[in-house]
Amino acid sequence: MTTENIKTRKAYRQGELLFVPLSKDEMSEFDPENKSCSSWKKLQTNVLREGEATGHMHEVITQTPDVASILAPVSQFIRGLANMASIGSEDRMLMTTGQVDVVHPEHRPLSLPEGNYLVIIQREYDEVKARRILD
Amino acid sequence: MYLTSRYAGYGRGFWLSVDNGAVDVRTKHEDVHIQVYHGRIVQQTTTKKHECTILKYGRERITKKARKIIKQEFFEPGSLEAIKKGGLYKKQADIAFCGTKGTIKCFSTSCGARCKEVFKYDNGVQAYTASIWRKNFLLKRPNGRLWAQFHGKVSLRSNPIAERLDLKATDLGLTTIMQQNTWSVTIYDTDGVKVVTQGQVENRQKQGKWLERGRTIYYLSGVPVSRELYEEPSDKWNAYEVLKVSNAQLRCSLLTKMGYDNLIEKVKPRIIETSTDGGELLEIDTHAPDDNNRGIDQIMRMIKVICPSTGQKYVLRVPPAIQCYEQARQWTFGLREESIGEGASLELAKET
Repeated sequence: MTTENIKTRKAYRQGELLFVPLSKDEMSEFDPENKSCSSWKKLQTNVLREGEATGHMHEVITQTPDVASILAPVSQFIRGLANMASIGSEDRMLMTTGQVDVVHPEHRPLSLPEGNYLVIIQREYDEVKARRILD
Repeated sequence: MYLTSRYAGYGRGFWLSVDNGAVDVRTKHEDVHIQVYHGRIVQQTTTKKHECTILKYGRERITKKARKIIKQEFFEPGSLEAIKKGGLYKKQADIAFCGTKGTIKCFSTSCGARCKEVFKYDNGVQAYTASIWRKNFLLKRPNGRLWAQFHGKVSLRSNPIAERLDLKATDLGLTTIMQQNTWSVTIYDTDGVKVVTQGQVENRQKQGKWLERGRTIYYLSGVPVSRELYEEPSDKWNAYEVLKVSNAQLRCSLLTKMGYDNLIEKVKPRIIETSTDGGELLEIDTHAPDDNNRGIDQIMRMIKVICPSTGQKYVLRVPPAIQCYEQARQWTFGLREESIGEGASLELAKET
């Protein structure tokens, strides 16, 4: 991932999910169309995350089909964005070509403008290491 | 009205003025017939293989299938698609609901807000009347038997309630149609006698005793828990154990039952910092022995955060070295500790 040192980044949040917009440079290293990049695979779903305890899902809703794609990391060790922790297996990438809504039964819908986002899960500390929040 | 060509190729461009008459556009998939009067488009008819749509500008749009009108929408004069104020603004037939087709009628207030929706099955039985003023909502099956009863106001949108409900879900997917965060539901069997699902939702989360398809399930803030845990007085719980529950949602549910003030009373944390949004950075003495070999920290640092959607308080653990609330919050967003120290941060443009 890029080593460009961005001090303050804009992000969106719904519950424990953070949507961090990716710049073109950052995206070029992730771009799944680039055959040399095999770190991400496209998922055939609109579900970003499913709550372990409640079963409630963060879902991507679009007005027209093929506006959004969700990708999951394939390899275990993907370097994170500048200043941020490395990418975990539950993190996702959301690529959109238009405005999309992210819905969840407990949270208000989140409208995201067109763009590419790294979807990371808020984390918390335990004695051994930082881990993703279990919802 | 003007007809112009773009990107048609060299020598093929044209510009035509049409004041009165009709223009026909034919493509592979549809035919469009446009009627022009005094230079203005007054009507547009789009014909596809099985469907025909007639748009009368500033008046209405009619959709026909096999020469039968299936949808009529009425617009405010002078507008293209603003719904007609004060009365019927949409009538739609052939909507499948509960295995039967029916017709929906939508009404608006004098201000142009959606206010009422009525669904009638083709056999004449009224499935529901939803209104933004009513606090109760009754749903009936095609045989006229009571299907479900909701307490709470519904939200009316462009797509009808009949299409928004999820008939396969135990609660019929009510979160999509309810306007408020707190409501209750009772769903009956096909005879309309026996209750099969019943329960209450608070802050968009299932709460208390629920009957779901004949089974009793106990919920604490949306998390299904055992009856023992639900009924046991929270005074008996060990607050330190509750704080160590690994699932954040379950931990939040238990803390909600226990009461945040009660937790503070039990573990007596040191409040390091209080933020303007009500969040806190806390330090708790875990009373773990010095020589414990399980790697348990003797000091636990946590932040209390408040969810903007549900208003619920969550307590998240952060590394013990973190010194202030904002640093702790930024750490939970995934920023590295050393970067936070150097001033890196995530700024939330929108939070739900």
